Amino acid sequence: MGKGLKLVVLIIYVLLLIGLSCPWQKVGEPLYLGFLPAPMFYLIMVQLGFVAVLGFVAFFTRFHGRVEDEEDFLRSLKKEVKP
Amino acid sequence: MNPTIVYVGVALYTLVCFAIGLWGFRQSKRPTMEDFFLGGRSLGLFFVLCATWSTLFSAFSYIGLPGAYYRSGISFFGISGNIVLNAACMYFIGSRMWAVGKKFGFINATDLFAERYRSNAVCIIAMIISVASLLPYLGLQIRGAGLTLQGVTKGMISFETGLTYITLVVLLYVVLGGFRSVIYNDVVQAVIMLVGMLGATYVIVEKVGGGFGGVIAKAAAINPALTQFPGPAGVWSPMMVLTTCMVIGMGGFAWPQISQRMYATRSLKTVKTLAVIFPISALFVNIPPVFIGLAGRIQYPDLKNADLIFPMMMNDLLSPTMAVIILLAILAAIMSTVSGMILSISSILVRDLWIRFFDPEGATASRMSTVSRVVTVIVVAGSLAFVFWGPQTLVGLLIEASGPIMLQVLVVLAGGLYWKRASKAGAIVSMLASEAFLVLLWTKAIVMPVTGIHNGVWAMILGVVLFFVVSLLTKPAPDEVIRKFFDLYDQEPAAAK
Repeated sequence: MGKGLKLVVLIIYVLLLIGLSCPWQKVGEPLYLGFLPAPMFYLIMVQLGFVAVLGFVAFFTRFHGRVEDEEDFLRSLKKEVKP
Repeated sequence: MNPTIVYVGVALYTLVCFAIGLWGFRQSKRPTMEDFFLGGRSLGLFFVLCATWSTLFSAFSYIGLPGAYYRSGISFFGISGNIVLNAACMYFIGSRMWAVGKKFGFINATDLFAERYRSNAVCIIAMIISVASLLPYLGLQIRGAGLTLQGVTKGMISFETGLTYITLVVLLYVVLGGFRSVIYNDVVQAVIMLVGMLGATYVIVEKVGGGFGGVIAKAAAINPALTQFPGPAGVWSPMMVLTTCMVIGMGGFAWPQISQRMYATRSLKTVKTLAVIFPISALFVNIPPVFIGLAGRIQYPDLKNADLIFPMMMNDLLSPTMAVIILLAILAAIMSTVSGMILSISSILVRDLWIRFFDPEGATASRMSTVSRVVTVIVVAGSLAFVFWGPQTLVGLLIEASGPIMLQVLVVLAGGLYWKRASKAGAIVSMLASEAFLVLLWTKAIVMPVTGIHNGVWAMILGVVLFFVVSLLTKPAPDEVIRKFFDLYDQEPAAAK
């Protein structure tokens, strides 16, 4: 994961954190899907946004480096135990 | 409630718990401590999801949450955002815990501290904080179980009987099969909790509001603030929502019974998938109480004790069979949380106290397995004794501050896994100072000039600053330790090295 991508992800996370703080005070309408008040709907959308970014970092980047090659990593541990 | 249906339902549920406990015992291939506490590190996605889910969601989801929505309306839903912060910790910290757990054989976060910071002091301080935060909380859960059973059955099951029943059932299946019994029971308990919550919500909402939209419309007609932030009392300002989410979500991850699950998982892919799926699955527990609480506000507009709202609606609106299913769901929620806590506290005491200081050389696998079981019994007795006979001010403080207390440990955990320069002095000063500051804030000996920010976050800010400053001013861990930990995270593939 390059520095540029890390910065973009960080900015998105900060924006999502602002969304997570529920800035939509005093908003009561509309009712989404016929039963979800607007603030709840927006908050669920923000939470799904978090999940999407987390999923991208987890499955499409090598955030944890060498450990990401899981089989190689586990094989290297066995070698350490039994040289 | 019909007593016969209650007794038959509870008896059947107890038999299922025992049967699963026995099955877990028979599944244990080796009598080792690693097997007793982590099930041989072989947990797949479905099991770890159910286990995390049912451990994190306690009776509070059934009793406390509807009561909170009764008082605060949908503004309390802001707190549900804690789950995505918890999931972020699972990925960013949990993945690295999984890797070092595989490499070094860690069982608790406190093991990791001892090895990463090369310091028994860091380990012991973290151990004391973890146990001090969890022991009264565990006792409260068990005590709450007795009160809940007494309340929802309208005294049919007395407080003493309920308390004794829950304690004995959980203790027996934990001692019998350890982690495997806990996990298998968690799966069954998660299913009962989900069915009970969704079923009860549907029936209550239909009867009170004629549908989900009807409940919202009727609640807004009573008081428009019930469907808006910051809620009728004006508590949930943006900063308060965010900082409370941080304390509950991130502090909740640092709870040993949750972070320990990261060591128990089979693969890194499982940890990653858990972090992505968990927040979505949590919506099934977080959304229904909103409608139950608001339906309660419509049904009983002037209730003094809002926490009684769900038991009252159970008795008044649900059929006897449905009410018993909810009763079992509440039992399941309590038991899954209690069993996870018992196992975690025991593992900390066995690994970081018994083995580290009393039996470092002579510990054999089978003896440690026996010691683990004995310690488990002592932990339950100790937590009950602490809550019943401990100094009440201290007990109350520790229970209320359990999440914030653990948030301060998370700083040292994350710092140790991400920052090579982190030193043992930085870790010690950070934990001690931020916990002391938290107590001063809680007892109002110090009052911060800015309001609307959770005390736990103020303490965390102090902890982070001290962690960085003291680490930079003192000697870091030896190079060999840094290499052992951080070589894992180099960007080059293993084959190229």
